[in-house]
Amino acid sequence: MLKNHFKIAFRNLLKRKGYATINIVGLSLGLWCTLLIGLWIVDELDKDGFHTNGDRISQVMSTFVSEDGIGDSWNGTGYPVGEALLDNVPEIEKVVRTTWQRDVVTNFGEKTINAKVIGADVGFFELFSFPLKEGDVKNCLTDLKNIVLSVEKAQLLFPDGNALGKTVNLILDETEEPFMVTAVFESLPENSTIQFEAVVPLDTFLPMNNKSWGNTWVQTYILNKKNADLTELSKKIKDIPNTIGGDANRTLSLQLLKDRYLYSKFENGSPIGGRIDNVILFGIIAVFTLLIACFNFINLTTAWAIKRSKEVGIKKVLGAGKLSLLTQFFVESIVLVFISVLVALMLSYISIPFFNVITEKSLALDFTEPRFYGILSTIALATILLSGIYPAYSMASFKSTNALHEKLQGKGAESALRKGLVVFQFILCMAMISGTLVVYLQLDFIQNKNLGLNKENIIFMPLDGQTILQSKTIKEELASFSGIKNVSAAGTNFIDMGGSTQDPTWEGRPANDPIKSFSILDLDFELLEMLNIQVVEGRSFSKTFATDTLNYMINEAALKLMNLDDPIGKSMQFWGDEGGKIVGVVKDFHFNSLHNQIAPMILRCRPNETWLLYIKTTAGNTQDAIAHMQKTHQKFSDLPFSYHFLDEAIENGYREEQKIQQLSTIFTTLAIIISCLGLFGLAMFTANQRIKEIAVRKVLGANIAGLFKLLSKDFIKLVGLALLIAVPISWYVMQHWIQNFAFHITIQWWMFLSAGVLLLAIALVTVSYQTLKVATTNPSKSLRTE
Amino acid sequence: MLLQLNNIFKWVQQGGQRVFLLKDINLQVEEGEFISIMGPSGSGKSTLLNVIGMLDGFDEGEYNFFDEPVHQLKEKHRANLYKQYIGFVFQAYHLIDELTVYENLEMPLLYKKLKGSERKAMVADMLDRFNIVGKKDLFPSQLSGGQQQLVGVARALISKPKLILADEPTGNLNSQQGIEIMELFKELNEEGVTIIQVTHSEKNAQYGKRIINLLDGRKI
Repeated sequence: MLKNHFKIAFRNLLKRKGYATINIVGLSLGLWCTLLIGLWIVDELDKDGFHTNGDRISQVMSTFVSEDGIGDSWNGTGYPVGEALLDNVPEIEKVVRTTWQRDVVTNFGEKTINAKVIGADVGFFELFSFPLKEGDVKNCLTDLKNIVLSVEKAQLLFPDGNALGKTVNLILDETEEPFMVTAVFESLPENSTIQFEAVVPLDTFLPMNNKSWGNTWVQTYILNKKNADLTELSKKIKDIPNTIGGDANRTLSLQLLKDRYLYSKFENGSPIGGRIDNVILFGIIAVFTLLIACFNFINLTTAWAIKRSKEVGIKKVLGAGKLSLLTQFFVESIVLVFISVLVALMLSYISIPFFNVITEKSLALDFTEPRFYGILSTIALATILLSGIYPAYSMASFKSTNALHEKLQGKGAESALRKGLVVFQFILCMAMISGTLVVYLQLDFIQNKNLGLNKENIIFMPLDGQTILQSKTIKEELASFSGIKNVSAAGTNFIDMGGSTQDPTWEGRPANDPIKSFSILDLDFELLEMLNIQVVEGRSFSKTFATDTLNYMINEAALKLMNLDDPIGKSMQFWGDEGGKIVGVVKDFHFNSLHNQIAPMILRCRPNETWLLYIKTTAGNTQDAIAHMQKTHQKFSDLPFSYHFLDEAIENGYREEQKIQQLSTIFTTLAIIISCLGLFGLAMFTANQRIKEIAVRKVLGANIAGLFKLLSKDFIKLVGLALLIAVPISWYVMQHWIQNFAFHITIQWWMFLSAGVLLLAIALVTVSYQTLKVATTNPSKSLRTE
Repeated sequence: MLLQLNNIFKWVQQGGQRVFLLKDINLQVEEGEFISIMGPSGSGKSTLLNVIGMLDGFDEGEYNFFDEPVHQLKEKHRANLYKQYIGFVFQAYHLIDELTVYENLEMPLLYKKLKGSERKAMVADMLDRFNIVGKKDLFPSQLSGGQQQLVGVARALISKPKLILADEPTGNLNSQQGIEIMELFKELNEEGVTIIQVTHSEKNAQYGKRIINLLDGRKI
């Protein structure tokens, strides 16, 4: 019997090739897209999932609290926090602190490499599941002069494979220090958010920092005891900085390490989202696309079912039960879905490298992994259930006497359902098109927004441990090259400024003034001029004033925050510097991404504390200039040469959005194609159904234009209705999304209008092929059959 | 007695009025009979045949089939009854286009849940008997109308029914093919199969041993 079902299924597919093709193409596109997103989502959800104690490892988060309210939360804590937690909270079993990774030059004999080094407490390799290839988990970091290397770096330094016990030299804080290799760890899993190439004891970095509660230079991880409740624990440690450290401006909380990656955005001290938003967004897109594909299937299958009513009738007369018919049509759905899954796998296999480029992941169709089959079978099963049940049920319920006489054409409920599904599909399409359009316009706005600085033809190049010693000579040598207009420098990459300080005080600051934070930018002479940053009050730093290396400038935001009427000439102090005065105010420029407001900033002229060269090239000479930079670099350093374009670096700050833009463009296009396939199939069906009617109309004198209108009208009405419903929904969603940016476009009616017109046009073109085909057929042909 | 219809009424509601399709039909059919139902278009012939074949219900009256009260049976039970005892032959043959002659013949046996070997033997028998062994792998569209109807009759016979219901079995055939099918019916009847046919043709009706005339849903 089952054999019979399959036989009929295949013969039916071969007989109705158009129908089968549309169904298979639609389903495979939907499955393809869902499969890729599924892989991506699973990968996102799996970050840091490999730690054996993963359910018990949390990171300590600091939240800055001031009189203005609760501020930012981040994962840095003071050095003493770890010890205080271990001593005062019995539910905490273990504490491990680490530093952020830093690029450190590492030597062994003649060999010099760069390694990303972190400092960590002794228990590091016990707490986290980073297995050691050689060496002992317990003792590898006990001595201050121990180092644990990655397999890759050990291989570079010791090609003969014998690393244990060797001594390597690290250049830390401009001095070279020896470290003994005590262990080698295996390659880190790709889904680890903690990445490093070498580990040294945490206290190696203590001399460059301090043990104050306010200096948040370490990350603290805890392992809680087995039955401890994390929320309770989080409450318990909240006020430890105040009660034990006397730091009233900070509270602590805990976040599971596994959750760090997805929930990195904090508000009022609690996580409110982060990458999880994208996971949800794309999850929804995946479900939508699959739904659209399944609706196509349902629509086309139930429409064409009329053609098969005779078969159902005969079978019923011959004694087929409802269950047997249900099974038969369900089997047909399974066959179609199965073929589509194969096609989707093929498409995924071809496209996954491109998808990886966009998502910056290394996803793969791993046929050896059970998880992959899990994803695949979930998607396939959902598709079979979604698309198979209704048509099977509907067909199996045909009444035999009616079915035999093909009297099923005007089944009202069914055609209402079909229309409903089409409307729903186009609502989703419309939402996706207008969403993509808004994302596109916002990114365009960002790219073209006047940032208050000139980013054209600017290259920046970090100095390393060797070149920094010669920075003055290097600058001169670079400036002498004809393709280079100007050379200056800054202390940090100012488009990505991390921290801020509450230390500054100034002349005229009231005693009861609340705490105020400023970003600090160190720069060399002429950088402001090079970047065309405007001075609105006072003057810029100038070599003609010898004391300018002690002086300050501020931006307009800082001026507002400081609440000064006449800032020029006011003295200012912080970080132990004395004797500096404010000499000028710069116009606000966007140094952080447009997600944020422009923060108050203090600029210091400190040519000796700048390690990032800014080089302006003359237009058209960029390649020559870079070649010259490389040559100069090699003259003073044997470390790798690196450089970045400022405009590109700024754009990189919107990588997430660009990813979203690219992905949503792709998926929207797919969704539209799938929906149009469905529309095309339905148009084909309707045209077929009405072939005789149209012939009669033609004989009676209808012209092609009139027929075209007659046939397209209904579809266009459906799409129009979908647009009307979709606009408020997508308006609401995009309004919400755009709030992520402090600087954003306003959403306007014409955006939806153009999305709607586009969709309508696509729908019209889709329908018109079939309609025109029928409308231009010679009526005698269609009428002859009777 | 094979079947008995007592005071059967069937109607549809149209514009607030009852339009009767069948009106007070009484009929007794003995085993081995050959009955022709005649009447003009719309007189209720096919409806009556569908009621007898249990494909259609009725609104009033009693229907006993082998002493089973059909009007009281559940759908499933009814289906079992006609699956076992009734074979249908249609004017438009109603073969399944996607299946070969062989597979079309096999179809009713599948629904009777017979074993593969049994099915094979029965289909082979039938092909042999109707002399269509050479056509077993052809699809309906590759056969002439007469051949298709031959397959239709073979399919109706394959589950060894007591009763064959034929709705204008020769309506789509030319006269020569028509005669062949009617001769076949006659032969089957002589072998003991009860046949009820609906026909327009006076000539075909004469093959029947009894003729029932219908007009406006009423026996005359």
